[in-house]
Amino acid sequence: MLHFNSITLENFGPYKGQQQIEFPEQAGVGIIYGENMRGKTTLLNAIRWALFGEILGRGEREISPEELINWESKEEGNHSFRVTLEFEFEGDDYQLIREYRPKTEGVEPNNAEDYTQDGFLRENGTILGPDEQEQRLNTILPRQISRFFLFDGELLQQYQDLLVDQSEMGEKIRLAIERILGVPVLKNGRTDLRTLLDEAESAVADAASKKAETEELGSQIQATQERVKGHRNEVEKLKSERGNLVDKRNKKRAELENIEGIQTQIERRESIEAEIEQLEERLERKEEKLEDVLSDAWYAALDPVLQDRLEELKDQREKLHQGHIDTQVADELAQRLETASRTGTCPVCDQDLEEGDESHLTDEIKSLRETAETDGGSQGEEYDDVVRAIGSLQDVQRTNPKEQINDVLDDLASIRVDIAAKKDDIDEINQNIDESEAKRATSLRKDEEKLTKKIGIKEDAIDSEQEKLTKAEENLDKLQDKLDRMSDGSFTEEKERRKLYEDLFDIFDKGVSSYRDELRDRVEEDASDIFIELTTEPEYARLEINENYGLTIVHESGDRITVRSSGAEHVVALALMGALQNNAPLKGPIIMDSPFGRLDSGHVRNVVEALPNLTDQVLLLVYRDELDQQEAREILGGQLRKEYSMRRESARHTKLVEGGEIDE
Amino acid sequence: MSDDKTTLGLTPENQDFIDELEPPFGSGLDAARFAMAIAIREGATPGEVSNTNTVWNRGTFDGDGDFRDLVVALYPETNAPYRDIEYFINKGLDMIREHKEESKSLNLQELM
Repeated sequence: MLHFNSITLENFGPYKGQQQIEFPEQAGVGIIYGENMRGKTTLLNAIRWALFGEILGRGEREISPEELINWESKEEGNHSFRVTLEFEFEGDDYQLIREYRPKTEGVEPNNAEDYTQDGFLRENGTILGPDEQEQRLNTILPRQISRFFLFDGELLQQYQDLLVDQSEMGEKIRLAIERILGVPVLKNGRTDLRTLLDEAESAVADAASKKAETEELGSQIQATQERVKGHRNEVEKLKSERGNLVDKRNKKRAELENIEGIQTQIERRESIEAEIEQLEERLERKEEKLEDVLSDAWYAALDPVLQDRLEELKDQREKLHQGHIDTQVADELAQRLETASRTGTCPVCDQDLEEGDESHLTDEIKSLRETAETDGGSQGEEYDDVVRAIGSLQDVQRTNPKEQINDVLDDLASIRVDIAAKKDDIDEINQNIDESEAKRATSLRKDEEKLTKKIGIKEDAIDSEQEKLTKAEENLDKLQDKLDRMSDGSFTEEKERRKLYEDLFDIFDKGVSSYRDELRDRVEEDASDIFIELTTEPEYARLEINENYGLTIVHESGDRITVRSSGAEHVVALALMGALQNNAPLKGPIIMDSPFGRLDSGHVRNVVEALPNLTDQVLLLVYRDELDQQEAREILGGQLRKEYSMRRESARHTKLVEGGEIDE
Repeated sequence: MSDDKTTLGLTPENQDFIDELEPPFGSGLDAARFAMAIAIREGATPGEVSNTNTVWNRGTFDGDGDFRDLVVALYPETNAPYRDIEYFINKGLDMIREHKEESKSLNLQELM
């Protein structure tokens, strides 16, 4: 049983100077009241840091310790902080000190590299060596199961992932659950027996290879055993490598989630950039189109002039044509009048001319000849020039491209406006995001993608190696059967040993499954009992557990409630926590940060009532609206062992005060 | 027309300016033809331009002789259409440049 006695914080986060919380000795509940930003999560982190040397923010992002130095004390020139945790475990007293200080005394640190971190563990007053310290802490509270002791209420919904097959978070929690329940002890035993069985099989093969009649078969078995061993090691190695990659990817994903806002902005920026790229391609195509249509721009500019000139020339041609006809008519008429004058007879009516007509005819002929000469003259050449000019203009005549050019220019202007607007959007995004954070997000995402690819490659390699292993094992079984048949009565001792380990391995192998099933039943039963205590819905009958320890609410009608509220998820997660505590070999304190945020008053009441039954030592970190102080006192009565409040001194300074009276 | 020009040139100023018109025009040739049209439309009367450097021979500018015929159709009294064309090109480029300087940008829609 692990029991916390006290924690002393020195310039850690908002806790300036040295401040201490003494945990009550008796079993029961302690409550620390603190409003937002006073340092509830930081207190939980201080315990985590003391125990594991690392601090995780929400989303499991690792926080650099230098971010946690009290700002005021740093400004005053103090660059160190320290957390001291005192506790008891299995009758021994421990003092765990974790310290973060400048690497070089007297030199002001500027970044994380300028700091050094120390950790000391005193066991009954004696400082343990580094390896021993790590080993001891891992026994007292393994980091992998710490989530069941030190937990953040805001992250309780992660337990919902246990209901989702193959979810990474679900798998992580499942492994942690099995660890707290002690399943790995059996699994380790099975692994050890596998090694012993391999050795026993080798001994049989070795003995066989020394006898003439089984020498060849023995050697074959030895070689196959080597191959099996090689494939098995390779599978293990690949799995471990995949595990490391998955861990790395989870960290990247967690960090990405942490900067989700920036990520969204970056994605928006990238999408706008892609749109700009498309617009620029369209712009380029339009510009090419413009070049094309502008080859006729001269015509667009000249069209009105050409049309006017063409009309003018056509009029001129008409006039010249008319003049030509007038000349021909005058010429013909003059000829007829000359004939009449010469013959004395009118060529039209055949009547004789009268006296005096001749002089009139002479005047008329003169006038007609003058007309013909005036209108005639160079008339033919001028007419040809006009006709040629009309032809020249008609040759170049075409559809006025002005409208088409204008359309293209309008399109171009519109595309340019769109691009400018989108660039403005990008400028706005750039103003809103910290570029270094943005770079970090982009780099994280790239890393995450690379890791996913690598994981895929590893998985393919595992499948392929597993296939080879299976084949080699089948081959080995056949060879061993053959040897057994051939060597009846020989190497009895080796064979007996092999048989013993085979049987033991089978027992452990079955034991793991059977223990898991049994634990699952127990967890299901206990979680159901706790859930019934916690829920305010009388029609809910129980919880049902799945292979991954995911819990589903079952209605009294037998129906499963597949869609549940975040409040219900919270209650189910708390029920699972309680059930795990009941069934875990390791018992210890539970420290909950903001566990009631999503719960209504009925559920809060039920949960508070159930707290003393969860474990001996429960510490709540809550804000005032989350848990009514008077109500908590009434419900818990004598089980409420201690109250603290976080008093604001300044934005960077919180004081821990014993007693639950909260200052504004 | 035997005294007409066989090549067409630009003043140094217009030589620089025509480069600025590419783009939006696909070539200096297209820009020059447009400039010629602008000058004619704006009522420029044929004249002579001095201090030019040859840029095109007339076959390049007017392979089919359409522009020559056009100028002759518009100005029947001319006896050196290519000299007129050269003049109109340079005059038109002057006009476009002035327009550009006044409106701070090249607005083809306004020019057309």
